[in-house]
Amino acid sequence: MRLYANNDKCSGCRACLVACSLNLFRETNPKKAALRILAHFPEPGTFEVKVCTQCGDCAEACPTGAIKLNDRGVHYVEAAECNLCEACVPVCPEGVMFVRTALADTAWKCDLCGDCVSACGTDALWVAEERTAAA
Amino acid sequence: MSAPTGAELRLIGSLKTYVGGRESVTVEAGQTVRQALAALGIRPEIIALVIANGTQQPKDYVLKDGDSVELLAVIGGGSPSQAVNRAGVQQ
Amino acid sequence: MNGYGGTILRVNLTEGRITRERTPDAVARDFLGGRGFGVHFLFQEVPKGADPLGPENTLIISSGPFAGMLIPGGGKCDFTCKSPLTGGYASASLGGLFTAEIKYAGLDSIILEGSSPRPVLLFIDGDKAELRDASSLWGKGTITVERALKEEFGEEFQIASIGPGGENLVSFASINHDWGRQAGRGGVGAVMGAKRLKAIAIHGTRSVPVADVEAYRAAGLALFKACKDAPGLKPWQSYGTTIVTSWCDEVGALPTRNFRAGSFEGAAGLYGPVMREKIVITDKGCFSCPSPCGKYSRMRRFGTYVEGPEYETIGLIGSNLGISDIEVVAQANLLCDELGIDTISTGNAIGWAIECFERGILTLADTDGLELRFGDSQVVFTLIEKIARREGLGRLLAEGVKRASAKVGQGSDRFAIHVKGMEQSAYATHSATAMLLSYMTCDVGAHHNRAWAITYDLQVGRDRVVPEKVARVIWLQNFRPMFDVLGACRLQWVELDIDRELYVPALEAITGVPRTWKDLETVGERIWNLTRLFWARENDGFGREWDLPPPRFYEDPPATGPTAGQITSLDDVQRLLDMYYEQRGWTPDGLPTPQTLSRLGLTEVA
Repeated sequence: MRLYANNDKCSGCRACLVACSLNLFRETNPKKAALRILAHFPEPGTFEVKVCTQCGDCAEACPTGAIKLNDRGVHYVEAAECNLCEACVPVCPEGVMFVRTALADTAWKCDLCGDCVSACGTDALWVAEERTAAA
Repeated sequence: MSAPTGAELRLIGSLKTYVGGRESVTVEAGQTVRQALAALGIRPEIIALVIANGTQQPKDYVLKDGDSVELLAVIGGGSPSQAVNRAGVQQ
Repeated sequence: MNGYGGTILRVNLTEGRITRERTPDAVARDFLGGRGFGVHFLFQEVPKGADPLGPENTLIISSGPFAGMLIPGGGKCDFTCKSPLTGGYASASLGGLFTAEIKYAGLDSIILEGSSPRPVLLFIDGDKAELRDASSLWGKGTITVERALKEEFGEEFQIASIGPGGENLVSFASINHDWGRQAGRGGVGAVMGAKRLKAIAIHGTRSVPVADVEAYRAAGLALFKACKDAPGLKPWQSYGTTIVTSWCDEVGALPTRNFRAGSFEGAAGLYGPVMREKIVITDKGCFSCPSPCGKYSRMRRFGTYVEGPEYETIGLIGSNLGISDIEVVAQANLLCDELGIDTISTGNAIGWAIECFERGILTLADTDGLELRFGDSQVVFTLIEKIARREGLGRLLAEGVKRASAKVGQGSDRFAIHVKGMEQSAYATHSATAMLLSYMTCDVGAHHNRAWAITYDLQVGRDRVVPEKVARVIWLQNFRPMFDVLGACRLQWVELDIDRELYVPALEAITGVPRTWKDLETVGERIWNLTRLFWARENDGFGREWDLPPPRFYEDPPATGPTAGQITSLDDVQRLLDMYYEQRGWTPDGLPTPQTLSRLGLTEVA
């Protein structure tokens, strides 16, 4: 299972970011969200959504084992075990591993809660089974 | 030769109240949208958009067999059925 | 402070000094935010008789408790000041992402007072706030400036800027943000230009505190679900406000050739679905909006892009100027945005100028040899440029149609389409008495967004002059602007028809204060009376005369279209005002009575 995004449907509203920070931190703060919205303006005038694909590269790179797999098969950060070394940040192919020590004393990432999907009015986000190369 | 199928009018939102809550109603082809609305008791002024088979059409568009037509009401703050209730109520 | 940034930032541009004050609890309790904060600080800060373009005028920028939150449409920011266009109350509403960033920077309002000796930029990054030299930006367009500042400071910064229009003190200059959103009306951009404040760059990383996070999250998600389940969502997402273009044309509400008529023979080229097919590339939304009305467009003929046009621009620059090509309207929209002038007032003023030329009131000598005709895109592009730069005929038009027609005389005031000096927006009201009353009594001048009553007119009989219509307009005026007070967009309720009761638990969970819609409408009524008092304070002899509509709507029935031959009589206009004043608890000349002020707790102000 993983999150999917359709850039063509994204309207740049950022509601997903607020829903995400509320889930991860119980705070209203889009800068503490685990997905990214890129705005390409004034041209070509499109939005791009970067989401966690549950690839696991971050878990492999983490020297303390702080990025674990939960019983839903989702990688998440165990905050107590994160030492803020930032090894996970550059290895994420989507740029959605976050360390901002001014905002939190742990790295954070998507835990596939699905609230972003609930807050997206244009159906630009959805959760589905991982598609294999053959699918 | 098959029997005429009529045109399907899909009513969005509060327009359903005019047809007993149904999502859509089939009407005879050969009449205009305006005439079909009148027969249903829907005043044409409250319809914002008529989209027949994916293309916007005026209310004088003549319905054909097999047409699928979406009708969207102008809302702008209170559905038509609510508008009259709110009238005259000093809030 | 639950739901709030907590701090008021006071920027004295004369002295170059920035101070902070704690957001007063009583102000938050009584005025909530947004427009409410705006009117509170307007009375507190601006002395009677202040020159709108002088240092004594204050521009108050306010966010609200719903802004920046998980609330659909939580993306609205209010700009309040004394208007250089009307000499009365100005309040313009800006969408995009600016209001959210105000909250994340720990602020609720930014108060801009005084006037800087040289061009400056207000730079806010968390607890840091400073004025920086902006002379290298002066003269540049708003989109150009936004691009430059985002490159310099980073994508997380939100930018609001004026263009040459604001710098040149055009009476209807706008403030631009997020590539194509504006605080458009009433000349708020000119006030910023008079203060020589070229742009505001703001960034913050705070979280917004709330009273009950679980209840707020549940209430917010319930609102999003209601929006997503709304049957009208998909059409609204596809067309935005252009959903009404064809309808307005059909019912005679589409302004045509300086409001001479309400339908336009070339309108089919401007309809929503045609526009979508020809130029729209992206649906663009404001902060936290599930129903993006913004239509980002690409104009292949010009090699340009614009956010828009939306219905108002289509009405005032399209049909009102006899233009039937949506790509031309889009390009004109872009010019207005980059130059920083309000498309509504601009289109209205150009329409007046063309009619003046047709009647020989303006001549080739006045227009530097340009023949002013309806349906001529070069006239439109040329005059937009001249207005923004106050060159040639632009010097006259930049004053707004009220002052321009007073200067020119020769009966041109009979077809200057404004109320209180603000150019009327895109609903022709020859025969639509509730909408006419709405324009007559709107608190900033002839703007449509307080009481959008045109559909109500069509539902209950467009020419009827009855107390129910007046009650409807008053209710809408007390209620709809409360969204502006809360820092949220009203269009989710207006266009998706969601149950407004869903907002109530959200507001309580965020602020910790329980409020019903009745409570909020009382605040709305209080604000409405306060802004009326502001007009009265600033304009000697303010009263009924100021509420009269453009003479065209009681003198000049359309020759063509669905409202051909229809007009509202001046007698009916006066009857509408009689009923309105009575229902509002105002004197027969349109001023709040002592009893009304007492009932609303406003006796100190008068």
